[in-house]
Amino acid sequence: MDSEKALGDIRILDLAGPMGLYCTKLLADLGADVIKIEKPGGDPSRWMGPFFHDDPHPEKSLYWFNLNTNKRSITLNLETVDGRKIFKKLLKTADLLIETFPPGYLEKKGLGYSMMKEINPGLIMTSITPFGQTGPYKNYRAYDIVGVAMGGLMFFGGSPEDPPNQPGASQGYHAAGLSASEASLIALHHKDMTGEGQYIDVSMQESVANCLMWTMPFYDLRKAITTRDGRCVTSPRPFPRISMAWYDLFPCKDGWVVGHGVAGAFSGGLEAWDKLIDWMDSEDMAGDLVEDEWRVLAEQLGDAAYLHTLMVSDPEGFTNMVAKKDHIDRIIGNFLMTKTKLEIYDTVQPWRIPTTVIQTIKDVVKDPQLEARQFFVEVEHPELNATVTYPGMPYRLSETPAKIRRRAPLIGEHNQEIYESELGLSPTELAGFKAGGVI
Amino acid sequence: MGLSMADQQVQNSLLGGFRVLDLTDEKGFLCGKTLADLGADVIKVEKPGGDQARNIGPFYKDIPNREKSLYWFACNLNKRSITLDMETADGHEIFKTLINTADFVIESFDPGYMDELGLGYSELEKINPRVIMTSITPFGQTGPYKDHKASDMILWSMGGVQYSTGEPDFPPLQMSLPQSYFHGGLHAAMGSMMAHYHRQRTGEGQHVDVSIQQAVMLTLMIAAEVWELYGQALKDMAVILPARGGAFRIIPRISSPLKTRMIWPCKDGYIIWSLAVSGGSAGNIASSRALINMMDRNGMAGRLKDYDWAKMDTLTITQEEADDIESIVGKFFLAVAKAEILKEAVKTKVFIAPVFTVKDICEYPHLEARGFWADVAHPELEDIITYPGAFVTIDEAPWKVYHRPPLIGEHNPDIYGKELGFLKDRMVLLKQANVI
Amino acid sequence: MKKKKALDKIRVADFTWWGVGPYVTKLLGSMGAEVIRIESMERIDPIRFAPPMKPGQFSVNTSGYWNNFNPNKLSITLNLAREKGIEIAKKLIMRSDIVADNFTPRVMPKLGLGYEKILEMKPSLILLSMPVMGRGGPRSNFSAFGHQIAGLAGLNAISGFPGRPPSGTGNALSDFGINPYQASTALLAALHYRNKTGKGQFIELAQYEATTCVLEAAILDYTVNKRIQGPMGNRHLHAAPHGAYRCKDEERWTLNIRLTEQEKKALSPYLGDPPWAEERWCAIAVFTDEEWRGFCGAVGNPSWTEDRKFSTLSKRKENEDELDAHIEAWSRERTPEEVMHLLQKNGVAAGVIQNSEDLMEKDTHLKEREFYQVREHPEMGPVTYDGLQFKFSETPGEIERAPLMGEHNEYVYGKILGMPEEEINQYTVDGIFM
Repeated sequence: MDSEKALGDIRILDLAGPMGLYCTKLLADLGADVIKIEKPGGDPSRWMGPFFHDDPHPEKSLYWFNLNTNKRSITLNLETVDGRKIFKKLLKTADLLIETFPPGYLEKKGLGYSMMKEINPGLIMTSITPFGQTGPYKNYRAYDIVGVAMGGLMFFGGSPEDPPNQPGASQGYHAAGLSASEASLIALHHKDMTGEGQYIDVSMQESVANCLMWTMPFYDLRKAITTRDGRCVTSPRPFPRISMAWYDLFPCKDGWVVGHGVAGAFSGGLEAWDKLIDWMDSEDMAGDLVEDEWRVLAEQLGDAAYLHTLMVSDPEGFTNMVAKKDHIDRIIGNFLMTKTKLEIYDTVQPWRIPTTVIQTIKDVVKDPQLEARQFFVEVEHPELNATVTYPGMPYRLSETPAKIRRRAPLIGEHNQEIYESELGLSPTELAGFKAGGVI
Repeated sequence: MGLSMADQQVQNSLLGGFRVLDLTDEKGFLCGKTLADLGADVIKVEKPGGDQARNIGPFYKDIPNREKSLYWFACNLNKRSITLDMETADGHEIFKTLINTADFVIESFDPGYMDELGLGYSELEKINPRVIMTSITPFGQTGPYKDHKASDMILWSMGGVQYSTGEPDFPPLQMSLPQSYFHGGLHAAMGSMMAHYHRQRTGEGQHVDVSIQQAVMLTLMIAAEVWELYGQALKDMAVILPARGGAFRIIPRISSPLKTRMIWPCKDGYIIWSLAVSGGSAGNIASSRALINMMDRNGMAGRLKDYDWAKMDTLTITQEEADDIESIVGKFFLAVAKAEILKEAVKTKVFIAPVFTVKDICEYPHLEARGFWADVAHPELEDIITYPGAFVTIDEAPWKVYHRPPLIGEHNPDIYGKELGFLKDRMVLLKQANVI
Repeated sequence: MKKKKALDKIRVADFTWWGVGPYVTKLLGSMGAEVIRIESMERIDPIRFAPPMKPGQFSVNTSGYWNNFNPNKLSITLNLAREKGIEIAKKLIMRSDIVADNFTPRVMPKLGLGYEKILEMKPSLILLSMPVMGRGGPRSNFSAFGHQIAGLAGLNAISGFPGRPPSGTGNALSDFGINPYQASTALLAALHYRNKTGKGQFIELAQYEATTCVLEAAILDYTVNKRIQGPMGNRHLHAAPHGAYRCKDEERWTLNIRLTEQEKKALSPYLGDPPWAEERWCAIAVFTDEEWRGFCGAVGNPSWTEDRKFSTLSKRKENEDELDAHIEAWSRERTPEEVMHLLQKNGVAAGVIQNSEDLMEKDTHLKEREFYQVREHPEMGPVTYDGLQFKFSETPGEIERAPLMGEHNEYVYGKILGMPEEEINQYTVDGIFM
């Protein structure tokens, strides 16, 4: 039996492009009836690679597959009068409308929120745009790279020798889409309580600006700008890295590990330090770190309050400390170069040294942890005579699990289901609408 | 024989090995289809996402879907399909590359569109001097109406056929199935073949300009000549011919026009018979006598039993007499069924024929006996669809189904990948940029 | 009239700490939920000591980092190492709608707050747990921080420049840009389900797994095509030009960095000498032919733009290095703002690669949308908060300053749990409320 769906009673009209596809995917996976409205001929997101067996075909886009699970698809041309009429009929059945058109586009088509609200007073409409619906840049164009640039994320990624770096896999779009899914569900709760719908304006730039960690406060409180310094977590200039030993990116025999300190309160304490040094010593690679002096220093490096006090009370002592930390890192670094990433990972984590590894996509797919948790799922694609392995759900709900119940739809796969069975259009009408480029 | 279908197409057909780039929309589909039926390698060049005309119904099982248009199927059998947007810079370049491989380009864009894209005949000729470009447009490439918009019905009208179709008391009637585009397409195929013949002799390509209006006008047959001959006289009598006769035929005469019925209701539909072919020649007279015999056997000949058909002359017979004869014959027709009458008519050589419905055509044993129908497998639909077959039977190069109508961009891998050598990365790039 | 709040009357017992957890509850709080952070002087959230702080300030209440991620909350101190503390925590849980934590899976059960037990006590509760690795599996108890999770999940492997160290995004993106929203989405979907059925449930979000969900088709490209995607720098498969372009550097002769005298001494080796050159960059993305024409027009149609090498997208991709060199020669002469406005006027997507100063001071758009919000803090004075990236027409969210440690003990223990003052005082003295 199919389990309960958290959003099983919710219908969503999906007019979203790449900025919003992940949003509607999450909601569909949680059980909402998401109807993807595609232009006749198919949504442009279907042109995005990679493709199934590298065959560039709109029914074979893996990008599309991944972001449209559980959705139904109809084709509908909102540029036509009939298309808008049909859309208004559908609108009556919807709880949520999610769209990514440039600001004002739907308004111009007579489908602005105020108009739609007249048709469906409880409607929640979420608009996702690069810069929001208001303000001087509202009509500026943006792709993901412009979103992460303007939102402040790109400036501090990567190394000083390289240009600022756009993170992989469209993180600007993801930030915007995720903000939209949360916002939409907040509005849904308000609707559950009061029956009232509302309009939500989501900005990609602001979504990105919300994930900058400490960079904004650093400017606010210190007027310090965070620039790229080649680390996984970048420090604002001129504040030096005064962190624990074995912190951030270290090369090893077959790749990279990312440390988050050793010997600190949250990195295993001195017990962990001793185990690490023993391990290194057993292979004659601990050097002078076996000496107590370094043990004490390691502990001090793990204490943020101590370091702070040292900096303000004894600048020279502080500078010395940083130099010594470099010595520790050099010796640990040399040792790590003799070990594989998984050797390091599986050895030190049980000592509560919170080190991780940089994994390739292949490593991720083969990861025994994910396998043990049965994270990956198999999805049938009968048209391709294939079963495709997908990443699973980001979360597990005990009563209403999100899951892939159906592969992403084919172009207009549910036209009949929705137009004929639900809206009661006749086959002749449909053929007419098809010929007229309406559906 | 051991030859693959593709090899058979190349070796055992009339146009095997010649390549056609088919840029047409529904105005020109039949041109490419005709050339494809003759074995040419017709590549339908569709916009990414598929031809607009794939939206035209009827649809397989009434499912309006771009891969299920029966209309599109009917017009694109034996073609291959690639997707290409020539308006993009990359698409433009690719098209130019393809021109090198082409013997024909057929297109039905608005006059001047290809020139605007920098792909007019003068440009294509520079790339490939042998190429024949056939343009199919409503009113041709020149003349004051060349930029007028048109639909199938408008061309039916402007071609002069619509005026003479329908009931006299009703407005002029279009054919209920689009026709003028098909005429345009066929004329284009013919024109392309003429140009091909010329090229075979001289090596020269050329631009063939097909006006659909003109193609339709040629179906009027004698109408223009009648106007030439009788025009002034008819004008004096305030008669414009050919006029709408509905089920009737109006025969121009010096005295007064004679109106005779051509389409007759019968027991289960309609048949065709005309008083106009009842006298005069020996064949007509024999046919009429055989008909009266048939009526007589049913006791329905009445006073026509001994009628002297040799004396019947449509130029002199009075309308009253004609009407009287017709009323007797008409009563008989009402009592017999189409099939009965056809059987009898063939046996006794009466000029009489049933008006076939599409169902009658499909069940007509004659067509089946000639092997007219072709069953074409559509694996994607898990079904077989019956298509009309050869438009002409050629002994040395029999008509064949080489492949079912293509899916959208089905042959992108063949053309772009295998033939032009695009790497997968490039194909993906072009797909993503909506070039292919 | 009181402003309508979407999550009015929803109470969250917030056991989270560090980055991802508090971010989830911050979002709920800003939309009206009553979020009670359960803290303890015995186990202070390390972010409370994380930089930055204003010059000369250093206390549990003065971290700008902590403040920015904990507005709209109440803070209580409660010692969960004590049995009485757990007992009171349970009481608070019984008065709540949502319970959230981001410990490794062993912690909550060890405290006697395992989800099965809690749900048994109050089946309408929604429990959110955000361990890094998830319950079960050989590495279940491994821990990691946000920036490390990105490396684990494959995000670093597809970010950066080919052949360069996989340094990732420069921040803990999964903590602030990805997982809080995924978690909230699940939480709010469960809330809707509860609205319909009255039933609560347990939600587990393994941060590692949730981060692998935002890699677009990288996973499928491997499982289907066996292709291991790598970093692409700033390039895009079907756009050219597409990247970061160096603009005119900004020279500075003074630094406004705020430092105490001691800090100046301590940090002088890292300050360098004037003039300080601030690198300036602009991102430009051209996908369509129309955008390319717009771009050529914007740069004034110099002769190189007419070179056949750049006439189509395929050719621009083939000659991308050369193309980028031409563009950078042009952009190097201009400020990134000039480049952005000029290109945008010509229909080309372009944006300044903004740093914190740009965002907070130069970006007129964010200013007009009133993105950043300044609130007065009792110890810190005025403090800026990130605003909300979603504007609601009926129930707009709001930013209220972050709480001081234990600021709301009296309200929570007295008003919500109804404890008499003497009892509160007693527990305070006994070290339960610390």
